[in-house]
Amino acid sequence: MSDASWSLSETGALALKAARGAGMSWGLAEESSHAVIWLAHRSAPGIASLCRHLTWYKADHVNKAEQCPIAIGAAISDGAIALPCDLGIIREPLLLVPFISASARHNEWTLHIDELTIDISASGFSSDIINTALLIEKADCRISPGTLSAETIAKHKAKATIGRIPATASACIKTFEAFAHHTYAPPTEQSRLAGAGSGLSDND
Amino acid sequence: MAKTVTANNQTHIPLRAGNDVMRLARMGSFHQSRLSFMRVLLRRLKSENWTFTRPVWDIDANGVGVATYSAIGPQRTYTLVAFAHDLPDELRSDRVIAEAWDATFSLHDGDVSKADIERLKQNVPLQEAGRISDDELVLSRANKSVRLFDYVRDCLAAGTQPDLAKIEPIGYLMRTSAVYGSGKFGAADRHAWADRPEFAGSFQPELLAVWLIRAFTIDMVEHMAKIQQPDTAVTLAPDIRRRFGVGNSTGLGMAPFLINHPALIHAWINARETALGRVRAIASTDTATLAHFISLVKRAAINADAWQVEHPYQNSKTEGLRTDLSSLTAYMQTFDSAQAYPWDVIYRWGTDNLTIEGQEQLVSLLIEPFGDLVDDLASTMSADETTRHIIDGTQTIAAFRELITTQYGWAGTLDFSQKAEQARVWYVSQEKLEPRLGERFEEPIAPYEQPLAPGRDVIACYEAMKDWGDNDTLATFLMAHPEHRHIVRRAQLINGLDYAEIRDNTIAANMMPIDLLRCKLSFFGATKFDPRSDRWLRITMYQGAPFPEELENLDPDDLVYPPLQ
Repeated sequence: MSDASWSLSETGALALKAARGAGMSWGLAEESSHAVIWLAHRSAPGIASLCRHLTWYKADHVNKAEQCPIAIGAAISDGAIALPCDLGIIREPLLLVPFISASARHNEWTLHIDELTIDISASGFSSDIINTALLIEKADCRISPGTLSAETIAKHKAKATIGRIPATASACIKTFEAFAHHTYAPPTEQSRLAGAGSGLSDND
Repeated sequence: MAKTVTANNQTHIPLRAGNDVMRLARMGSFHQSRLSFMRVLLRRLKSENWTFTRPVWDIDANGVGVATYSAIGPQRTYTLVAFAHDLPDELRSDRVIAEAWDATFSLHDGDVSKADIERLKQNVPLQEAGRISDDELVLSRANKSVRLFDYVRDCLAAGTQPDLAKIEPIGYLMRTSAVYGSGKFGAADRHAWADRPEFAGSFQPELLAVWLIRAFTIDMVEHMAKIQQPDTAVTLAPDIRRRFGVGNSTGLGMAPFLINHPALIHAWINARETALGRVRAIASTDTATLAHFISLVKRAAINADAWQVEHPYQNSKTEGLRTDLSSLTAYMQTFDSAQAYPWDVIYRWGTDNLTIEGQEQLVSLLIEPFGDLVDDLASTMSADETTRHIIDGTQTIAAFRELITTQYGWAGTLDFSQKAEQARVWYVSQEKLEPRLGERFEEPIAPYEQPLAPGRDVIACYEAMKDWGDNDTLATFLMAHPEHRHIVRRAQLINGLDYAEIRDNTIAANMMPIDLLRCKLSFFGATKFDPRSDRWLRITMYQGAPFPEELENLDPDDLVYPPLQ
């Protein structure tokens, strides 16, 4: 029994609402949700990255799409940004990894975050640095062709687990809940009466 | 006979088209069938010789305490932990805004320890306000039917059996008002158990919990009768007892599911349509199979007679069904069993002569005698939705426009500048975090709209592409228009899945949410759909089915329709 842990599905559903509540389109909010779950399956702290990113995103920044790892990540996975490339300054670059993986069906790529590197395949990623060091607020990012051994790619596959979101993420969950709250409609008298359909008695 | 038929001879009868099947009026007329998930579950439990025990019964004279029910299979054990509460009448409500219930439940993965029960006791009675763990699969609660529970208890206490005429219109002692699974409120993710053979298909843990809850409701009423009159109290006679199912109250919380899980809905409906296609393709029949079918029609008619509803929408549909079933009975009396493709002939007669409600009942009846031919389809009724559909950004605008024209032709016929076509908003309420339906032009709720109107959204996307070149790609379009990303992904996902998209406007002024609810519940195996408004309804689950200790000796499929008098 893992007390106070969260399932990935409820966390993904909450991340979706949080990203929407922070102002993303539904489609990009779906990408955010998928990205944190993809990372959680690989024991990476995507939830903390998204938590910090949404706080920045919610504030009224100009040109937020240019630095947003979700918008840029989606453009990479769609093919609007061709790889390899220099991305410039990106917020929370860990969140780019799932998108680069999605576009790595035929090639492997290396994500350079300043001096750090992350090797990415279609199945996962590997890096010399420890997980918490992946939590970089913003950095100059570049993607170059990668060369991964079959053995490393097999390790990427093996690393994906079922996973839970641990109790240590409770602060992030609370932040997500606060952002998600922006998607909920405040009650009106009309909604109380009609929204769920009062209709006939429910106690007989 | 069915056993000799293969699927190879069905090519001359195409499956029913998505454009015909996926209309809300038809989906809202679906009936349970032998592919419904409750029936799939009981067939499997029986064929694998599962056994059942009640390790804990610690309920006091006030009906308060805990009981556990274990289902023991070839590889694993699951245990329902049931908490019985003393609920004041004025607090009893099936609405999601309730905070207390007559009974609360969790389905635990394995044998349950005292420590597990203590932990669950701190959380399960709180429902949404508590937390369960990855050792649990389901969280649920139920309220008594005050109409029936006290009556049955009093009869049994006095040493008499309750009157079937009083039981049938209600059909249950308790009704659940939520059955949460798949990772909700801390439960194990679907991923963690989806590959267990006993859970192949959809909603198997939830429906195992509900079946065990049914046994608990009977044990409770017999326990309370014994407390009331220890000297005279009797237990329920088996034939009467099986007429008690479990009720369920379902509201809008379930409605978005059908829109949010297009690949899964396709899998469910495709299985049912394929089953119908296989039966229609049978070249000939024999008198025994035909007699079996005719007896099923008569039994369905008994069921329709016992289906009492107040809501005018369902009331007129049910009346139509009764007429339909007597027309069908009359038609079958002179049916020439020697004609070719007899089941297809019957199906096509139904299309010309029955209401939609009757046509869909006929579909369920047609596949009923042919378990050997169709039951394998149950294993196809799930979808791995954890793998997101990755948008193909290389698709050209021209190709995507073509996709919209092909897949969403129905939406192109709607005029979304008319208020009636945009009258509703699906939103989530701040109070209980549950889906609601509001009026766009009367309430300030549009900023909170959920993406549950694919028809409108796809037309808006099509409009936005007006000035884009044929050879431009979706990738560049989506970079400029992230607001269309959701519908682009959806349209690509449903392409090729004929039963994934509802071909009706889900925000129209005249849309009936209960149609969405009924479609889903029919796949669960629910009966006696009883709308209480246009947006919530009651159903009965497992009415007629064997109880755990009866499963070895009774055929659960044969008990679905009431016996001929």
